[in-house]
This record gives sequence, structure tokens and C-alpha cells, in this order.
Amino acid sequence: MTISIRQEIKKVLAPSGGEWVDLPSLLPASTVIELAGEALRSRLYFATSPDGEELCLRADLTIPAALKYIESADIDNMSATYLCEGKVYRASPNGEHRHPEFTQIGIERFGTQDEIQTDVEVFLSAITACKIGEIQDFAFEFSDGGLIDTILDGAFIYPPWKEYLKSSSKSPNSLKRALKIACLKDKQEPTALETSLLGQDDEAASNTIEEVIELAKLRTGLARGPYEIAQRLKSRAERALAKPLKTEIKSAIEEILAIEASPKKAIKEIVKIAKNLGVDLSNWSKTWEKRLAEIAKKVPEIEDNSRFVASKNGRFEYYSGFAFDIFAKKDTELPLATGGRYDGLIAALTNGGRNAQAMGVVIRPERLGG
Amino acid sequence: MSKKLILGLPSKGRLKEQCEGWLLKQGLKLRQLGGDRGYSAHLDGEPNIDVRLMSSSEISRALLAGEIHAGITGEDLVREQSGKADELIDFAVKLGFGNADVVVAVPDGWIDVTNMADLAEVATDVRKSSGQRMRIATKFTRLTSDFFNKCGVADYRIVYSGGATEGAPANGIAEAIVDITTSGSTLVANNLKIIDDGLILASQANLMAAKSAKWNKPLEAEFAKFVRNL
Repeated sequence: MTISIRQEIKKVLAPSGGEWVDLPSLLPASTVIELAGEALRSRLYFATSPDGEELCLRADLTIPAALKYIESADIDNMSATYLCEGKVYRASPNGEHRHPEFTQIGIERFGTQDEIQTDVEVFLSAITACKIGEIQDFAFEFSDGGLIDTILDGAFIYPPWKEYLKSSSKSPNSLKRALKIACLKDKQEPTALETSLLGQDDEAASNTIEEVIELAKLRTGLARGPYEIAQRLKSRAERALAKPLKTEIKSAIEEILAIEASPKKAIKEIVKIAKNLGVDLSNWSKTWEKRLAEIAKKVPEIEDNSRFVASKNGRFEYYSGFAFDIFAKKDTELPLATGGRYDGLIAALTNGGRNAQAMGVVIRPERLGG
Repeated sequence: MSKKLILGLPSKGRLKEQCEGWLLKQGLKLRQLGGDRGYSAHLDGEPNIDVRLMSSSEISRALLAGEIHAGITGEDLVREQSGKADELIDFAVKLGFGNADVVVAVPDGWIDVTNMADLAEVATDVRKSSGQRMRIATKFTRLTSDFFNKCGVADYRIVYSGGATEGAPANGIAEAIVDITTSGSTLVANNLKIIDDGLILASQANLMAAKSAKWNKPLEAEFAKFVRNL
């Protein structure tokens, strides 16, 4: 049963074009952890190469597909569509007992030009594939990996807080912690040293710190020196002297993070709250409405069976825009398919050396009744 | 099933000496078979205890696997080797020696860093400016990952370091370290300082029992008697 479902999924995905590719199972552990963060370490399976390099079994298909694309694409944003199937290896989070190896079948599209069309095509391929199994009633969850950054970029927020909040934008829990700190009225006064740095340009501030460190016979290590320390002390002093973040801004962002409603309702609500923050999200909402309208042509029940959340904890940081999960209606915990846009992934893997738009989805065949 | 209680004891080094001294204080003389280099031994007057001399990390591994009933080793080793230490091990008696703290340390010239919240911000700054996560050199990957997660430090990655970890920041291998220290003097000698709230684990030698080892009533009674007599 499982094998026939897999074959059917592959048939459904193939007409969308692209080549079936074999992806490596073993990846450099440093690459995966650099990208996904150490929080993933406890869920990875490690191996050591004969020359001593630390490797790990792939925990998804997206990272090896992106690595393959980087190897084969000669120019930025070169068009390529990969179809891939294989086991991935991921230990359950603490307290859960799911099988650590499971099959994923997916499409990864790179260098796409028409963002909305690609998003819709990938989503429709995924829902068509999900319908192959016994499950016919679905629930959908949409989110946007770039929304919070867009709001923080556009909102009228005093610069020290803007930078501070943006550093936590990818995790709703971290962002809530940062908002709380930014609103504190009683802040520690800046030290005399910090205050003196505020009046100095970058070079002078760096020299001051270097002198302090030398006088105290301290060492900084090779990777982070007086310049970086001076910069941080200056921004800490700026935050200490800055007015606390307005509680209305904190409340508005928290309200956006708490939204969980049907897409139309959620988008309308987010646009309204963002407007109060001085952010015009009309283009953003038009894009989403167009995307959803295109999807609704093929999946009319989409609006009634979907919820939209602004940002999700636990998602890989590389999701940069449209993101979705497809669930069986009676089980909205474990997704049948997960996909999204990750335009920043190629740049992240090459430390900014290469760029490509990217969008993909993976399907879990064994959850489709096989 | 072994009819004797299998007890793993450290086979060499300072921990072995401290262990022998402590056993003597309890009136138990450790007799090593085959001289100083032998790896089997017995305790005088304890015919139902089969002593195996092993490295500290091997004792930890064998306890977690249930291959020995009991053993003396450092809590840090057990907690590093398994995320389920409390499920698998009964930390029966803290022995008061083998003290070692697992700590987070940064270059002492980082005058802007005193606590873990500072380190979290520095990690984010490093990632923003270099495109790479801040590197932490350590052999304690599990303890580090759990602790940093708890402290909200996200933008870092671990660089495995099996030895001379204190030299990593000066050599440019990592920005900061997690390492074990007793007096802190090696850290100071390498121009490192311990972060105020950067104590991950205050470890010491423990007498431990393996919950998943094959136990029966006589063996349980033997272990209870051994603990009672301490």
C-alpha cells in the first residue's frame, strides 16, 4: 500500500516538471547546524568520515537539495526544479516517541520568476498528492516567514529598539521576551565608559576599548576584538538612554503574533493593526489575496478549512515568506505536507556568495494511509 | 545473570586515588589483581561485589547501558552522555570529591559580557556581522546545547574540542568555550573569565546505580547494604 501511494505521489508531482534527483544522505554537520541552529543537534544522527569530518544524516530534503543546486547552478537564480524522494532522519522531540526515520517526497524549485504562480503551483501539487490516500478532508495552516520583519522594518520604532527586536524576529517566543525588555521603564544606567563611547566615532571608540583592555592586561581572543566590543557597548548605552518602547507597539505586535483565524479575517486584522504602527501592508495583503484566490479556484473549501498565523515557533529560520502545512482535518498536529518559500537559503549556505529564489514542499506518504 | 554485584571503579588518575582513599575511610581496602596495571579487583570483606576497573567515561557508558550494577564516576560524564540520565541512573550517594564545574567562559577582554543574556546578544551580533554563528568550543555538546537553549542563546554553534579547549579563543578556533574547571586557574592563565550565571553543572563523583541493569532481590540487598555501610 505504502509503495503504491508513493508511486502515485510521484506521478502527481512529475507533471509539474523537473528532474528526479538523488540527494546525499550524509551531510557536513557544521553546514546543517550553522543553518538550523544547535537546537536541532539533539534531533540529529551523527557519523564521522574516515578523515575525521563530523557528518550527520539529513534531517530534511531541502538542505541537500539546496546544496545540489549550488553545485550545479552556474549563475544566480538559474531555474531548476528537483523532484526528490528518500528517507530523512530526525529524533522525536523529548517526550515524544515517533519513528526517527521516515520517507519524504518533495519538489524543490529554484530560480523561479513569478512568485505567486510558483507558490500556487507548489501548493496545488501538494494538495493533489495528499488526496491520493484515504484522507479526503483536509485542514490548512498558512503563515508568512517574512511578515514580522516587514512590520518591524516599516514601523515607527526608535532605532535601538528596532535593531534589538529584529534580532529576535524569527521566533515568536524570543520576540515576546525582547518586547518585554524593550518596554522596561527601570533600566540600568549606562556606565561612564559606555557614555563616553557615545560621543566618539567608531574608530575612536574602538581605540578607547583597546586601551582599556591593554591597561587591564586582558585579552579578547582572535575572533572578536575592541571594535565589536565598542559597538556593542555603544548600542547598549543607546538602549539604556532611549525611551522605553511604547506599550502600544508591544501590544500591537503581540496581538499580531496571537492571531489565529481564517486567512481573509487574519490578513484583514493584521493590515489594520500594522496601519496603526505606521506600516502599509496593502501590497502584502494583495499578494496573499491573489495567492489564496488562485488556490480557491482548485480548492474551493480553502477559506473555510484554513487558519493563518503570523509566525510560528519551531519553523526552520530559512522560511522567508509564504509557508503552509496540510493536515488531515481530524488530526491537526502532524502535517501530511509542509512547504514554503525560502529565498534566503542559498545565500545563507554560501555566506552571501550566491542567490536564488526558492520554494518547496515535502509530503509524508506514510501519513496518507499507506 | 551475575550473582555478584558488579561495581565499576575508576582505573587510573586522581579520581582512582580519591576513590581508594574514600573506600579506605569506609573500611574497605581495594585489592587490585595483577598489580597496579590490572583491571580487575575486589574489596576485602565484600565477596559478593565484583569490582571492575574502568575509565571514568566507560563507567558512565556502562551504567547508562545497564552493563554494570553500580559505579563511581563524575555526574558530568553521565549527564553529558545521556539526556535521560535521571531515568536511567540512581544518583545514590554524592561522594564529596572529584569536584568539577562545567562552566561557560569567554575572553577576559570581553568587558561587555558578564552574563548569559550578554552572550546571547553577542552571538546575534557575531552572526549579523560575519554571517556565521558564534562558535563555542567544548566536549560537552549535550550540556552546552541544553543550557544555552534554556538561556535563550540561539545564534551559536558548537565546535567539538577534545582537549586544550582553553586555547580555542586565543587560537581563533572559537569565540568562547564550555569546559570543566576545579579552581579556575587554567582559565585565568588563558585569559578567560567565567560568566556570572554560566555555571552549567557543579559536578562531583557519585556512587550511582544503573536502573536498567539486571537486578534481583539479593543484588538489591547487596547494594543497599553497601550504601548503608558508607
